[in-house]
Amino acid sequence: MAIALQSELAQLVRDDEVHRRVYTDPEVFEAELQRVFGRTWVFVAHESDVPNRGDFKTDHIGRQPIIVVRHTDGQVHVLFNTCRHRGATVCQLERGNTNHFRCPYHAWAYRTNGELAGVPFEEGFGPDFRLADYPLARPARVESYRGFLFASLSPQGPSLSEHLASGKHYLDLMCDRAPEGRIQSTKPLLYRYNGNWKLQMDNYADNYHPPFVHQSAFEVRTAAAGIPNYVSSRNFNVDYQERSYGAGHGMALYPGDGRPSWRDCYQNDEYLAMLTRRYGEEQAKEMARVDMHVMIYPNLLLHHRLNHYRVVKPVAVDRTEVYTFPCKLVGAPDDLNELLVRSTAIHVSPGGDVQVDDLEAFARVQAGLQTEAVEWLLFKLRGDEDVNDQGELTNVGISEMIQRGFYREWRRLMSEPC
Amino acid sequence: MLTHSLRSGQAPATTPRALTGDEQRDIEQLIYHEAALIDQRRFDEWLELFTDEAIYWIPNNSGDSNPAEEGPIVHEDRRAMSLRVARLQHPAALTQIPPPRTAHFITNVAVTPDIGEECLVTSNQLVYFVRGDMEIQYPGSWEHSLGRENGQWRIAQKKVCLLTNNRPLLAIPLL
Repeated sequence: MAIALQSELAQLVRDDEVHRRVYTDPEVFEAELQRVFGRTWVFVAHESDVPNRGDFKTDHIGRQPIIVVRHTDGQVHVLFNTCRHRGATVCQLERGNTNHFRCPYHAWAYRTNGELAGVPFEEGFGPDFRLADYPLARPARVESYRGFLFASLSPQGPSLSEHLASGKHYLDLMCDRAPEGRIQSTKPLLYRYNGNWKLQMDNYADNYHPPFVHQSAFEVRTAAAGIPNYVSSRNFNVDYQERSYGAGHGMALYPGDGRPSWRDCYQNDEYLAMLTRRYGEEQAKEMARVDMHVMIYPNLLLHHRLNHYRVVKPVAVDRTEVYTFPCKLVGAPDDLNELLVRSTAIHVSPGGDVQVDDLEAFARVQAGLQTEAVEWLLFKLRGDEDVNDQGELTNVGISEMIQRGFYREWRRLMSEPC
Repeated sequence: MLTHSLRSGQAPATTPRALTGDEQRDIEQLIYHEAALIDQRRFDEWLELFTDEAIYWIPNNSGDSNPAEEGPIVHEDRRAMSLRVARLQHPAALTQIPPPRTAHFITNVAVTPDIGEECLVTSNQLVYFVRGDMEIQYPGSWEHSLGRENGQWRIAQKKVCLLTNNRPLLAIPLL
């Protein structure tokens, strides 16, 4: 990449403004694939996606195809899905179970740990040819935290632990709520939208939009339940706890006030008894009522109430796919897990009642940003920002602090030499 | 109340009585009428075609998926269906501004009768969707489980198995 573009990229993000080209310029998008997705820690799978030996799933880091597979020894490997001979993808299925990957082109066959097991007409490659020289390639670094598997395509940079910072605590919280201390992912719900990938990231901890974008869903739901609509444009005096932390991450905690909510599904006697045995009554109560949105830079979202994680996949500058994995709490009663899976689907599926309106908002932003006369998007909404003991920026109420943190990291990755 | 076998989309266990030509025509007309009410945005009338215990179901990934184990694209009881209808008519529903226009194309209609009071109707459908600058096609196989109440056929379950249900979808209309 030309140095000129590097300094240009740095100028596209100001402290509380972002240039429209960050969302609309195909060159910026290409640079993101190299400088963001090609460098930083990117979530690739939860280990429970491939629970059994031989289980695999295919996916992408940026646009580079990968296979996540559990080998015969139980270890999970992240491999590039490309034959070392002439480059064809060696696995064509989204998910499955296998004891090898065989390239469809010339039948080079690989073990589930990536080793090249055999090639037809091996002697034709000459005496110096060694199978051991051509395993499936793998990302420079792969690390796991509580089953959340991340890869970095760069050999340098902070460890996953350093990258996640206090995000580890929020991942812990999601897993520790399960009586057996771990989650089990289920098959993903998939949606897409005609807009830039960062519109979903901007939106996830945006507590300013719900009364407007979700007005129809909230009014219809609350009217049917015979309760007041709490998320209304008349009520911005809220007790939400916002955090901006680590390398561009964010978190919004919704303390709530005892009003009816989806989190009530955790008030399941059998489940509470399980948590109480493990953590004691007070902590169990506290954990059961946790309701938070967590954003892990650049593209992982966690939902602690509906109990899912989402992966935001950049496809093109104006096209994005999102994979949502509803998760079960391992050891929790079946009726609670069923409610969690169903409630995620109701909110987040392309046929649901909440996310669909966000998708419409994203498409409208992408369309509006074609206006060249208006260059800067504003992220100026401020609260009472402070810093806590963990070094997180904090705010109580509604602000655009989390988005400002996201773009500080974006600017750093995009403008630093790599 | 429908038998389990019909709800699960399997052939009925009892030997079916052959439908008369008039019965067959009535059933087919109901399928066409239901689609027309959607295309004409007559959503309240659409809802009235369903029984009180009805389910509107769009499976995720495959028609065999269990909605309790695998998040469904849609799996709604009659109450949730009525909320959907209310949202479609809410003045602030973003996905309805401007309102989508749809046309259902219905073919390969087959009726599996069960003792004359219940039946399973399968069809291939293609919904052509136009909204703003978007044109989208929703092809798949539709399954209507019908029951006869007071001499009238009503829909006990509508299951839409999209060919694209393993792909990321834009926000989908009422199908």
